[in-house]
Amino acid sequence: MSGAAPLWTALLVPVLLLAFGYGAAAGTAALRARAAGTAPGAGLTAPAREAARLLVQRRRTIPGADTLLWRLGGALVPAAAVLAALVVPLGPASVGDLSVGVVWFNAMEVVVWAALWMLGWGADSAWGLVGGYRFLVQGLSYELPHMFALTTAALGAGSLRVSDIVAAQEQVWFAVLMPAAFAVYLVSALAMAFWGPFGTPVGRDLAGGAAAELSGVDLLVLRAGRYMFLAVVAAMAVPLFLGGGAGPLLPGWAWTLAKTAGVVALLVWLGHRLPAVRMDRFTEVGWVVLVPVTLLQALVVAVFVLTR
Amino acid sequence: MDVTGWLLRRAVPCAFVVTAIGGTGARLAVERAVRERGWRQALAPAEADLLVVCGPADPELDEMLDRVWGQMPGPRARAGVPSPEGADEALDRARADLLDTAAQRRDADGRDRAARERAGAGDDEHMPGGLAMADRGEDRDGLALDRLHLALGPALPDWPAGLSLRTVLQGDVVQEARVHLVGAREGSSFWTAPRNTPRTADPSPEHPRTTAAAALDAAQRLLFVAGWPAAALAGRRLRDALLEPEAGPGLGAELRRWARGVRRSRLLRWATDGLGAVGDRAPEELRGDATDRWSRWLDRIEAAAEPGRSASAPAPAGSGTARAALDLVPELVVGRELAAARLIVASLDPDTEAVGAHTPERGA
Amino acid sequence: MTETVVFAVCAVGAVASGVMVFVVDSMARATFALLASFVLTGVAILLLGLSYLGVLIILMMVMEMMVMAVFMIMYMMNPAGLMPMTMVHNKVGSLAVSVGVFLLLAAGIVFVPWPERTGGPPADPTLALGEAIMGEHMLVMMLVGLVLFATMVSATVLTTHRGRYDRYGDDLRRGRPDDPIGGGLDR
Repeated sequence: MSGAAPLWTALLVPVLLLAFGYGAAAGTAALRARAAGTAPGAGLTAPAREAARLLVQRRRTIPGADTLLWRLGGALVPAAAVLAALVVPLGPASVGDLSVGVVWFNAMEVVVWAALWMLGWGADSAWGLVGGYRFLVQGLSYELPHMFALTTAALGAGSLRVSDIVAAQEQVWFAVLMPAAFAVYLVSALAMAFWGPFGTPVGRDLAGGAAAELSGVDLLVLRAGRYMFLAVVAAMAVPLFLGGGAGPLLPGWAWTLAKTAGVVALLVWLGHRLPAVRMDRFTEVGWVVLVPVTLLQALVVAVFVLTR
Repeated sequence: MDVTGWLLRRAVPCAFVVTAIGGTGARLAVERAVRERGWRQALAPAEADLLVVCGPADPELDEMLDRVWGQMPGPRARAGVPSPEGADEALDRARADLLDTAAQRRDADGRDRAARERAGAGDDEHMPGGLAMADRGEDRDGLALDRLHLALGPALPDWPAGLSLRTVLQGDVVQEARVHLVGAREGSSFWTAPRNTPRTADPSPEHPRTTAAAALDAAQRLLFVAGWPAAALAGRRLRDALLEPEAGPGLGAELRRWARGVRRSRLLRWATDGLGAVGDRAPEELRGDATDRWSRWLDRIEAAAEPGRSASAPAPAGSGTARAALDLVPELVVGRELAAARLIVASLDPDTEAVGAHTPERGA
Repeated sequence: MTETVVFAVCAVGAVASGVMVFVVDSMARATFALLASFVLTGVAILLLGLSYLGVLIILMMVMEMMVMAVFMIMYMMNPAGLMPMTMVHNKVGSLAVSVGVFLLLAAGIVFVPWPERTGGPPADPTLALGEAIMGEHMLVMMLVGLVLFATMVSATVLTTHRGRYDRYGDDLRRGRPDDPIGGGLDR
């Protein structure tokens, strides 16, 4: 059931990511509009209208900024999202079904660390700097549990190839088999997209943090990239934990899209319901609670695989 | 085809709102208008296209506002809202300025020319961008680290009006802090002054609905700082409803539901627990940690929602409390990182309008 | 053909960005020039068919460079000023040494008689790598891992000047530790 899709499908990847990203942004805006007591319907066009505003807005030049790193940082976020999505299968096939697909996904997702740090550093602003380093702390807190969650899924299938992981879930989804790993994956999904409760690196208390000095098209690229990233981490949850394209009646690609939309909706709802997580408090939770939990989960899955 | 104009007309404006001391009424009107129009409020000048100044003019503040204005990328427009009545009209005018593409192009060309002249005239070879280097000092672990000087406020969202907290940072940890009030003036707090505006016909500042609105205003600010915009926006909506002359039906139930939702949030408690603990010598309003303080606001809001309980509602903060809160800020934020410092200030919520021309003590 | 072009681009790019580390005048740019060099090397390893090692190099190097940014830049340099600074001390000497070493190693690659290949590559190099590490050398690898971990823990313990008596009091009776900034678990 696996295979590499024709090369032209690579062009489809950014389009799909943008569509899901737009959906997440519009959903957030609609929920906010409802909270603010205005018509939620306006939220559906809000991201497009904000994009129109940012397209007209001028770019900024900042005295003493490291413009190269600053601009590069913003551009890396959507680029990393697209590259990470290359290994995510849509139905039976992905653009590149690498033998180490899980590691590839992990490597591309870590590029955001560099991107946000460059953004914060390059702008020569105290807010940006604090925001950039805050994301590094966030990365060091979520990354190990996240890696163990990915490892556990790979362990359950005995392969790092994403299509093998999907195939191993024919009987039972990994979300059922390894619930702790799935939960940790969802937490780290929010954290790596620096979104919702984990949005403090670009948070309101830092006047925008790493994005504090961005304007116009630079800000548009970063925001779009962030929502594309949210879409790709949600999409990756489907082959890793939710059985990929498996499902009755509909074809595989439709099930993949539907499940991805479901995960995106869950993440958007969580972002709406939860206040920000303070990183100085979460770091301890990440290391003292989540790392042992994911290790135990990996142990349980390993024993299960051996005795099966 | 005029693509710029076409896009501009479809764009939703994003307003950077700065409040001067004495401008709370204007701020409430502006926040309400911005919310009802579905506009956004900017976190920083860089992303904004409207600069909205609430309250009376002040020379020191004006100088800061000019710097903020210079940071806005353009197209940009400026609106002054000295009193609540003019809010809608000022926003309409600013929106029209924003859509005037010819004027916006002239503004942009003028700025580019000025920037070129500056670049041609003075080039400081030693310092990148002509900015000074940070100096060093020992941090709490004895490491020699850079010291950054950062002024928090007065042009900062969700921040007390006119407050400027001059900090020395190492990393994101506040090492020194000093309170300065920009545009401090004699006068009374918006929340305790008698109402005479048409929108808020309730004459009694002691009325539970006014005290609840004040508490809601403080709570929405804290919730924004705590990174929970959905709850904060709902809080703003309820605050505006409370300030209406006649409450709509079901407002009490909605207030109770909102307060219950906020109170139940474990994550919010986790973020504010143990922050800015104040001993028993402080005014009653300020005692305990940040969680205790926002819990008391919620009590006041719930009291207003239930008419029977209004007698037990605590009195609103007086000028003594505001002064004590302002004096407590420096010692409580030192040694804290920025997120905690902002939560502490938001939980103390010093009413800078109530302190008059009070000069705060020099900070830690 | 494609492989040759990709290899040439990566090889030249890796060396060029390696040189850039010493040419640029900012610590941040030097860090990312080094990162670019490592990533291009990772791509070259991907060309060898060692996909796991190649992707792992990219993954680990991005993380490592960001940790380096913390230590090299946050603790040592002036963060907000972006002050230009030179990346080399003793310019002439270091240039001579590095060019000499580069030429020596390159000459080694060109002139050493490389052995002929006997046998084919394994079907799954990742599996072969795992078996090589975790097969007969498992005990050694486990020990090395433990020693590394113990080193990290003991280095941290030796560096921190606050111990449990500072946190929980002289008789260790304090319920809540006395920390400058508390963690999230109150312990």
